[in-house]
Amino acid sequence: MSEPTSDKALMMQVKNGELDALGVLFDRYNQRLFGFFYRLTSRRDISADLVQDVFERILRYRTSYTGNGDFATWLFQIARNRHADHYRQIEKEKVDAHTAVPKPVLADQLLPDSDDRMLLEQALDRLDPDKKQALVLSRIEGFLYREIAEIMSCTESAVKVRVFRGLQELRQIMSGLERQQGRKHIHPYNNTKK
Amino acid sequence: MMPNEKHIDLITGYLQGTLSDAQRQKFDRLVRSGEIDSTEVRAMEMQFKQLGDLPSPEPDPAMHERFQSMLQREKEALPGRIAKQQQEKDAQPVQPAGHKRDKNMSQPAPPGLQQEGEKQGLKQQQREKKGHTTRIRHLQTAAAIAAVFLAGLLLGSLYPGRGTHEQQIQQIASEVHDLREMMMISLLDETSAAERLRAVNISMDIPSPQDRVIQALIETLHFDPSVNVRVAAVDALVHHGSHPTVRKELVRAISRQPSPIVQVALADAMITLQEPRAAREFQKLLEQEEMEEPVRDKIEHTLLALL
Repeated sequence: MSEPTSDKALMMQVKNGELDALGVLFDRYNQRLFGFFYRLTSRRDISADLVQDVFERILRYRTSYTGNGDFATWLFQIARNRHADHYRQIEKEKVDAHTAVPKPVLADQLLPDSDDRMLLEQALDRLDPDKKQALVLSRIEGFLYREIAEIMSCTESAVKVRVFRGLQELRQIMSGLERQQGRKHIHPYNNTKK
Repeated sequence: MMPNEKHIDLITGYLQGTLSDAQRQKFDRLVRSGEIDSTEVRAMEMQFKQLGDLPSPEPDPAMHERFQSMLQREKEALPGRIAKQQQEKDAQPVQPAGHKRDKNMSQPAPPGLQQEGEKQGLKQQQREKKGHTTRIRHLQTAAAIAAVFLAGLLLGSLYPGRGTHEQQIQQIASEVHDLREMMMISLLDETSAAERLRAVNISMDIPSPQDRVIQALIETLHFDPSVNVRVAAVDALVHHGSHPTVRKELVRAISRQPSPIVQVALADAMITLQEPRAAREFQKLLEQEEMEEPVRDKIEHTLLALL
C-alpha cells in the first residue's frame, strides 16, 4: 500500500492550482475543526459556517502558503482567527443590543447522557476564550504546548499558564454551577461515577 | 490549597505526559515532599482527563456538500482567473528604476485593497515621483563626489608627503559619506514633506549607515506627520534590514501606526524580511474592531505568509 500524501504536499498542490487536493485535506480535518469550533461556540450551525469559512480562506490565500512549519498548526491558526472574528461580531451585537445574546446551549447540546458531562460543558462555555482555547487545543485536539503557542501567537509559558489556570477556574465554575443547581459538590478526584 | 504556580511547567508537563525522566523525578520528589499538593494535582489530572472524554460532535453531511460546491465553483473559475492574471502581467509596464519594494513582494495585494483607489493612487504617485527624484539625486550625488574627489586629488598633488594615494581616496570617500549622512539628517528637520521624503530617499544610497542615520529613520517612521514620509521610511528601513535594531523597530511600529497605508507598507516589509516576530503584532492588530476590510484582508494574508 502506498504512503498517504502528506498534508504539506497536498497543500503545495493546492497552491499550484490542483484544487482537488483540498478535498483530501477537508476529509482529513473537517471533523477536528468542527469539534474545535463546537467546543468554542456550542453551536453546530455556527461551527459548520466557520469550517466552511476556514477552507474558503485557504483557497483565497493559497498562494501565501510557504510550507514552513506544521500544516495542522497553520490550519488551526486560521481557525482561531476566524473564531476571533466571530467572537468579535457576537460581542459587538451584544453591545448594540444592550443585552446578552441568548445562547441556545441546551437546544443544541449533545445528548445529555451524563450530568457531570453537561456540567463540564457548561463550565467550559463560561471560561474566558484564551483559557478555553488553550484547554481545547491541548486536551481535545492533542496539540503540544509549543504548537499551541504558535497557533495562539503567544509564548509556550503563556499557554501553560492558561491551561493551569483554566483547569483551576473550570473547577471553581463547576462548583458554582453545582451549588446553583442544588447538587452536592463532588471532588473530581473522589468522583467514582466516571 | 491551590498548587503552587512556581511549578506550572512541571504540572502542565505532567498533565500532557511530556516530562523528561529528570523532570519526572523532580516532580515526584516535590510531590513526596508536599511542595506540590498531590490531591490537587490529581484533581486537575481528572479534570483534564474528563475534558478529553467529551464526545466529538459529528458534522452534518450538508457541510461536506457545501464544501464540494465551493470547490467546484473555484475550479470552474480558475482557468479564467489564470488567463486574466497572465493578461495583466503582459500588460504591466516596466518598473521605474527607483521602484524597490514591489520586486520583493511575495504576493499581490488582495483584491479588496485595489478598491482603495485614492490612497493607492497617492502611493503610486509618490513612487513615481520617487523614481524621478532618485535619478536627479544620483546625478547630484555623482557631481558632489566628483567635485570632492578632484579637490582631494589636487590637494594630494600639492602635498605629496602626507600619506599614500589610497589613504587619501579613503579619506575623501569617508568625508563624502559623512556629508551625505549629515545632509540627510538635516533634511529630515525640514518642514516640507517633500524635503523629508528626499532625505529618506538619500538614506537608501548610504551603503553602511551609522547608527545616527538608522535612528533618524526610526524616529521618522514613528513620529513624522506625513503618511508618505512614514511609508518611505518603512522602505528605507527594509533597505537597511540587516541593522540589528531595524527589524525590532519595524515590528514595534505595527501596533503604533494609526494609518492603514503605513500598516499595509509594514505588512509588505515583514513579508520581505520574513520576520516571524511580526506575527504576534499583526495578530493583535486583527483583534481590533475598527479596521477596514481590505486592510484586514491584507494583514491576514501577511500573517499566513509569516507562519
